[in-house]
Amino acid sequence: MKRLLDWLDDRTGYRDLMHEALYERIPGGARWRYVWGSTLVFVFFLQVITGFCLWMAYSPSDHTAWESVYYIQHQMTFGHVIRGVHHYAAQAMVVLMVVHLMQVVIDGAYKAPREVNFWLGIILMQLVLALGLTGYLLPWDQKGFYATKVATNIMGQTPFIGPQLQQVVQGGVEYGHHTLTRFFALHAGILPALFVAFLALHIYVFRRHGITVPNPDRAPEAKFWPDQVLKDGVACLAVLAAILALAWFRGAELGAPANAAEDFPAARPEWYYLFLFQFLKTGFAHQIGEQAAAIFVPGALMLVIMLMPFIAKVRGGHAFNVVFLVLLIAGAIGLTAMAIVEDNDSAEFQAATAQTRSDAERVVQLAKVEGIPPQGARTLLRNDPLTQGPRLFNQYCADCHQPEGVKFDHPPLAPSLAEFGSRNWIRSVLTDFAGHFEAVGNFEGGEGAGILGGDMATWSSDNQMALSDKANAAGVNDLIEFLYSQSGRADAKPTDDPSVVHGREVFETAQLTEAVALSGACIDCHAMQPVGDELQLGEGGYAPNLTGYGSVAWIKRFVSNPADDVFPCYGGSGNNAMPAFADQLSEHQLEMLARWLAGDYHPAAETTAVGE
Amino acid sequence: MADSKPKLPKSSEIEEPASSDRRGFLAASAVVTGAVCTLAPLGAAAVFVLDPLLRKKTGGEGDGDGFIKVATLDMIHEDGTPVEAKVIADRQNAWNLEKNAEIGTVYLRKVGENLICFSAVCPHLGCFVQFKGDHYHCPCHNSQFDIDGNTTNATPPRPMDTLECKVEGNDVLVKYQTFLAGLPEQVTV
Repeated sequence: MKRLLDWLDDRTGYRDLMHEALYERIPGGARWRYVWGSTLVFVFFLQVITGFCLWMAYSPSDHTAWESVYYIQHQMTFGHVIRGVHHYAAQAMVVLMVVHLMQVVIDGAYKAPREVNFWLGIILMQLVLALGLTGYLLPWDQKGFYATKVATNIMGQTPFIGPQLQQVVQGGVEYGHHTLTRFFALHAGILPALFVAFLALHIYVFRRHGITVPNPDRAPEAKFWPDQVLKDGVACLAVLAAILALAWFRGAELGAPANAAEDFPAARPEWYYLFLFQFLKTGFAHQIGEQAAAIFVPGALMLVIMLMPFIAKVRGGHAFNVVFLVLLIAGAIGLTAMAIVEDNDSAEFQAATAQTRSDAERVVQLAKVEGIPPQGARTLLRNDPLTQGPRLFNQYCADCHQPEGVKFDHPPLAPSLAEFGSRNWIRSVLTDFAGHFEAVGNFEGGEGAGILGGDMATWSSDNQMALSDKANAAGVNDLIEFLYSQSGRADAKPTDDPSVVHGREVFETAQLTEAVALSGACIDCHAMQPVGDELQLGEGGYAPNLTGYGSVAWIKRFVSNPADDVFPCYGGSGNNAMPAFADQLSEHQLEMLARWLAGDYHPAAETTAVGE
Repeated sequence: MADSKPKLPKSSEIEEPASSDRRGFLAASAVVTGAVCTLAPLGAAAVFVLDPLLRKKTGGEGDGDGFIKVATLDMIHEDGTPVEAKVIADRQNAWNLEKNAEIGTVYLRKVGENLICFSAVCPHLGCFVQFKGDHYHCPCHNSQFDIDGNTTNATPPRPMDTLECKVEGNDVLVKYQTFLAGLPEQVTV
């Protein structure tokens, strides 16, 4: 073994190199305050390892970026850990970098002859920030998408070349595939390559001048190995433990897939950029203008930091530098706190984050039960009635069909549809028609009179006693079962179920029990082609056709045009005040709304409370 | 064995031979060769990277004039309350042609007999402006506009961006465009 190593040393001279690397002199002995640079190198090492792992599973395109990250996060072995470590190590790097900078400035390690090394460090800092910014977009979720859009729009305000620069970075005028491929090339290729190059220079120049020792006489001189290496190692271990704990217990968030057409009111940058974000909202920023606030002020602050080695040459310059940096960091912390407090106090922001979180949970659930189509996960949400239905309902329907618990500035004009088409709904329509449709009486022009004064209202009140009598409950329930089975909903009973069969008899004959008959049979007014039957019951022409009542098709037809021929009383006689939506809603929107109202979608997952 | 290590002279120890024309020529040639070898690939790379600026733009969305149907007249509120409408058009996303993609959102509002169309993209930094009952608000940096799109606080650099719109029969058509963020005037991207 010894001979082999001798041979290797002869050919490479590795022992000199190792000696050079390990036996650096540390006057005054190893100290904890020297560990920060090493922790940064270590965290970068973590990023390289986890980054390569993620690279093996990541696919940068509009239709695959979120999807591949979802797969890493929720399907791949250890995926959430690798991604979590990468996510939190990136943030740890920013924190450690600030600490490192403070230590360098306070100890005066930036002064001659170490100016160049200080500048190399500042360049490394910019690279870390750029890596953070580019990495934030790659999961292609709503948060990263909208936050990065703001960043590239700020870039677009760079003097002279802004718009061009923005287009080159985005890979076009809009965000798309090429935004991702470019950001990914920057994040995984160009920026890390530059980082390695500058890190090598940084360490080389650092070794050339040696460590900056504030008081060399405090302890006997030591060597880097093993004294300082041990301390560095312990510090790295602590950093690793913190990152692992965060990755394991908290995990990296993955929002809903990016969608340029979908509103996202909770757009915020990563937390270490929040102070800049908040700064843009201050009155001072408004006074000096967008461009000055977003570009010139941060640029000027950075310039002061770059000039610190020169400022230090002036009397009191070092003290100025220290105070400047401390104030800068304190200001940043203050602005960050303001941003967080403001968001915590904003009901709108809270609602928006809750909405994205539920969208994110929903899309992950759909991805698991339905699988992600090649067009991407966005279509899962787009084609999900549970996601789209409530949004359409709020926009088009809620004004009249007011949901309970929501305040409006006028009374409801139509019944709440919370239970539309359910057994309860049907029972309520049959036994208490006037009460059920009470809200239509609120029309100021009396448009609701047709419904409230119609034949059905009369029939319902005439038969209320019989329908509510406990002795007839079985017959009423059977009638409801028969009507409900027309919807074809998942929990509807089959056509040959005895209660459905009997319900049909009641529907046709009005004979509730052998002894009790209703004042008129349903088929006297309503036509219907029952499920699984080719025969039409009743002539119709007076009242809504009940074929497929409560089913997706029925709702679609009704919402499209309540005055359709199949709903004669609703339309023809002007009984119904509801407008037609065929022109306002697309076929797809109608489908989403109808399926949501009919309960035709994958049920929401039992949400497990996330401990945060 | 270690003793037999050949000692290479350091570069500073090498004696500079007297300069000559030939040497100068060689040096100049070496520099030129090296420069060509370095700059040619870099130049090609620069051209490739600048593709978004250099590529010929393919035709925009919509009909010949770029107008896209976004709504029908029935949707427009008579009382002047703005209506949110999605802009659906084909979108060229690098190698994909996405049919009927949602490429944006607009607000349509009736003022007197005229129809006014605002882009929902915030002129400040491009977030999504929301209509809040009687004014517009952007959730990112709190840009605020009144119902006519005029700024009501200092955040936005200009009023909301207006888009050309027209009515054909029962259809409302909009010429959808995007504008540079952060500028005091409306400049098309």
